[in-house]
Amino acid sequence: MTDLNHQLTEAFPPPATRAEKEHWVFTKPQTFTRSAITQTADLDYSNAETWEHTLQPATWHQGQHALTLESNEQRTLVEFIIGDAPEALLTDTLDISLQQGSTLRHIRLHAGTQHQQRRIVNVTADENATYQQFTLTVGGTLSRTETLVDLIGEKAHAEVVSLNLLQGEEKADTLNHTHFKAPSCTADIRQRNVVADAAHAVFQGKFHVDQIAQQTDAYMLCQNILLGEKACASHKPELEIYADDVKCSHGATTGTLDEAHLFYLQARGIPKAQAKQMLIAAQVHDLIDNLPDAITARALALTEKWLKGVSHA
Amino acid sequence: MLKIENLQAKVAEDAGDKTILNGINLTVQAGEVHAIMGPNGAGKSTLAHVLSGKPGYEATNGTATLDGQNLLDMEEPDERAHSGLFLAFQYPVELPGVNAAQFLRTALNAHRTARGEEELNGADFLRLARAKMADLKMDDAFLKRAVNSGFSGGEKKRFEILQMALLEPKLAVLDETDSGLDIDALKIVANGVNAMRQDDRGFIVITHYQRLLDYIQPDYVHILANGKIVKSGGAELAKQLEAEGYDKVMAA
Repeated sequence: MTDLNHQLTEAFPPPATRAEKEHWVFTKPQTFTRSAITQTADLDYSNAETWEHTLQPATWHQGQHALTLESNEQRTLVEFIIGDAPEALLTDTLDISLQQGSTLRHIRLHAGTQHQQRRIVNVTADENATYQQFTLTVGGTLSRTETLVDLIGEKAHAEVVSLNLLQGEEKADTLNHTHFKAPSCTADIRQRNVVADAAHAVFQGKFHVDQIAQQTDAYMLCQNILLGEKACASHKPELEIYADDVKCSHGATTGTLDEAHLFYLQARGIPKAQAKQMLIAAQVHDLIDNLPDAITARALALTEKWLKGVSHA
Repeated sequence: MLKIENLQAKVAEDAGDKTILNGINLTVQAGEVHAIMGPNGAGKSTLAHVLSGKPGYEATNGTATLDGQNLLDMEEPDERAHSGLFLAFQYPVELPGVNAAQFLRTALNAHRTARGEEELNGADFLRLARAKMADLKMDDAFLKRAVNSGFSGGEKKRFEILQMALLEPKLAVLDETDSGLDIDALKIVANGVNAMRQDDRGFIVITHYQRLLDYIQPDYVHILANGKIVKSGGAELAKQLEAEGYDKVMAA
């Protein structure tokens, strides 16, 4: 952890020193406003706001985005961040404000190699509002993704699902912080890391429950599948609870592919190497099959190359 | 077809290795159905696992040859499957994220490749799978689901029989296929097995109860106890077991 934090500080020095370098590109700060997003009552992807960004080598992409949903609005935001861009750096912040009864489905597909990224999402959810995030990260030398959610109104709900596919010496660090500031709020945090070679996945999750936030119901789960002898996963769940009538729990699993699953496939005549590949792919499909069809297709295309090349010796 | 001679086997357990099979001798000729019955812990499922090459189960002595090839010499379970052995699991595992159609097609094509045949394309596979599914009264929607994931007990067992129907093994071992089935599902599964009975295929039906054998008529019945076959007979032996219980029949 200390090692990784150190590397993060190295990777993300203050902008002033970085700006002196040539070739830095600043992405235009974007404000996703009400008028900028198509109404999507049924959370249908075909009408969703989409933001596509291709990383260029040796550039710094920086952005600051904001999005507000009015009462009872339902929206989908889809982000594609793509690029095999050596020495590229992406740092951006997204501030999301969800007013009463609104729902945001937020999907972020991030794929590429040899670049570094740091993303911070700040969410404020009022009464009965729902924030659903799905983040897919495929590769990247060093990634840091922070999702900080404040549930400020009764019965607000947060769902954050992250899938990281890592190989080589890639590192991905995910931080989820959910702050319960009103009664009867719920949260479901799920992280899955598939880690090959000598890659390293880090997960930190925290539930902070204020005294007023009675009847909080929250769960976090971190599943790590290690495919290499030197593959590594670190996870740290934290609970800080000041209310006395709450349900907060966490779970974590770390292991290799399931031997019983492997035997079942082999007993049907599927050779071991192919069976392993099917089981690794299953870890991915299990999560992305639930996305809207058009997104699933895009996500599958992004993961296919990784799955074909991954080492599972 | 299948000839098991003096098969001894042990299971690796936390507390150390445990010998489960103490010298099994059994010959199944092509076209025959052999039922293996026995009390809990007799070694019935262990026999199925040792034949199919489940990790942790080790044959320490003896041979099990299928059409002249010793199964126990084969390193990997998939080689045993390619040689014509099929195990219908007592507890089929759930594989979330593994699409059923893709799984069936991959398994079928692995067999075809091993036999030196061309792989089936998607359209031909679907035609074949749908025909086999209709026989088992299975909905096409099964193909879109994840393997065994969220299936009921009956659906899992029908899915096992569907796999058997597609892979067309020389010898099928059904491990307590009747467990967890209601009577309607039991009939569908039994009909699926009966439809596959033919002169060049053998079956070993492992079961705890006589009930399944009302629907799948065995040619021979064997009683397994303490890792050995202690009594063999015809279909009437199963009925006698049902009427008199294991203790009395084995003592006679």
